[in-house]
Amino acid sequence: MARASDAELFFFSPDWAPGNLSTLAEAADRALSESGLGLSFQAFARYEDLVGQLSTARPALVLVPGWVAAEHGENLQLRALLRPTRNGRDTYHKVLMTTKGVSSLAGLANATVAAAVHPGSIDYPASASGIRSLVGDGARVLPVPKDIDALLALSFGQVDAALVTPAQFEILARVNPRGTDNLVELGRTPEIPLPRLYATRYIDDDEANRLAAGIAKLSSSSRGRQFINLLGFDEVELLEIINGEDRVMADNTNRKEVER
Amino acid sequence: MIRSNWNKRGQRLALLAATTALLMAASMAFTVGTAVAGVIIVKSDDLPQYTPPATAFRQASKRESIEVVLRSRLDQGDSEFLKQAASTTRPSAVFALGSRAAIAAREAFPETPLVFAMALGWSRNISTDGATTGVSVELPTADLFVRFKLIIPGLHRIGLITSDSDSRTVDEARAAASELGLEILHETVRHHDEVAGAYRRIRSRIDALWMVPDPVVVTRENFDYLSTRCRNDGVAFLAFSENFVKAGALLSVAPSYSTMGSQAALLVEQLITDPGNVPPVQSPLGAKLVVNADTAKALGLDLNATTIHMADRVITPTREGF
Repeated sequence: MARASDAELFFFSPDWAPGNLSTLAEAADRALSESGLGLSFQAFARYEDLVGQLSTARPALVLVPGWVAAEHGENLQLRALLRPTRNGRDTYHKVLMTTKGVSSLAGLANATVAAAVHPGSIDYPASASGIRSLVGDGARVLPVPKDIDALLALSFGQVDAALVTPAQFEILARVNPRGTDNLVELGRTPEIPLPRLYATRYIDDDEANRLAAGIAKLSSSSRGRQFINLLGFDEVELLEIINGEDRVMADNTNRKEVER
Repeated sequence: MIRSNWNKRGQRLALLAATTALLMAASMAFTVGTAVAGVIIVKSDDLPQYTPPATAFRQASKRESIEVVLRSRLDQGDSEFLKQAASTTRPSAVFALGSRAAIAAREAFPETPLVFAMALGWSRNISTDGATTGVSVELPTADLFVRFKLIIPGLHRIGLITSDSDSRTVDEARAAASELGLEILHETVRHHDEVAGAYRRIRSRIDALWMVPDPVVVTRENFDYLSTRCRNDGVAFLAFSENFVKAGALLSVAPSYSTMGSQAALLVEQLITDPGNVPPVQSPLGAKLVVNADTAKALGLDLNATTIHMADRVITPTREGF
């Protein structure tokens, strides 16, 4: 079992820009060091790397999307501990933007679509982006580091479509309204659950609950809040497992602490 | 030197390579490779900058690949070396990193589809006759300016100092600025010691100073002067390299090398499947944005989570929160 001094938290989210992991790691170091939780943080850009480390590094906690938890839940005896939210929701979606004149998904059958996905994860059957479900197998998916790269490529006519979060489109539209006037939404992915924090078989329940409570309180400091925001979340809510189902603890005090 | 990187089936070879000498592993890889027509990745040199695009190419491409690094040799030209290195393969395409690799590949395999990237001055050095295309090194100026505005919402007037030989940069900047509602205030210099004076003439009228890779302008002394003066004058100093950001510039925007590799993988696929329809040379699509948090704070810029998400790296020299 992991002790407090050597517990590791693994993070993987295919929507997270791989190039930005160093910034995330620096923020994590600052926040976790300040918290005194005795927890170290490791982010993975590639799913294969995460899988390789899950069995050898024996992490105490993993912060991963549901499809990753489903694949490894039995082997790692995963128990959900925290439910992150963004804008009050624990799911999000992406929109497929294209230019005026393309009126149906069929029009993108052989198109080039830019998306912020890892080059090696485009065709994962359970990939969170669900990009193939929208554009089909014929489209060429071009992996770019961030949503803004996909949007700029589309607005400058370098690709035929871009799969992005609506918020990123709104930001670009504010900065460059003329360049986004010609862009339209053609479709959207199903709701994609945000990653959740799970305890693994390598940590006991008491220690897992202690760490989860500590992480839930990170947002009470500026460094901790920056770390949580960098993960892509606004808030994190504690969960407890009852008969295998997640239930949000009605802990208003804790919720106040994590509010920005 | 030849290094093997067979893409999909290469895991066993990679294991073998870990326990045997490098040359022996490479030799075995080529033996295996004779059965498959894959892509040759040619590097002009063994530079670390070539690793991200080569890696991204292998991840994005469904085709097997081998890697060849050109070496300076007195007894053998690049194309001869390349031919010899790949003598047991039938390349279906070549991905060349750097101008030297592209030129050698075109000579060694004149009929084979060629995609190049990271080739400075490609339009002067590389013929795009036949099945040849690539990814250029320069980001479109409008792309740069949008990214500047994302970090500096109040940006209106950009100062630009260039030598008198660099009119293309100024023309492109003015055109892009016009599209985005920006204004370019340009000063021309003929000698590096005129840069400080040029800056003083425009400093009171600009929100930001954009430093482009002009060899007359960019010297150590000029960078130190401009970095200090911009900070004191409340002018955002915009650079083209992460090293300048570490040294105090507000931000840098540079092409994403790994995205070039992903783009090249798509271009290779297009050339192989539709050789009669050669796509034009593309601009790089992804960019690496690096921001100096301390400089941002000094300029009163709000680096919120959204902004940080757009950055690939936020440098915090004092390691203070913001």
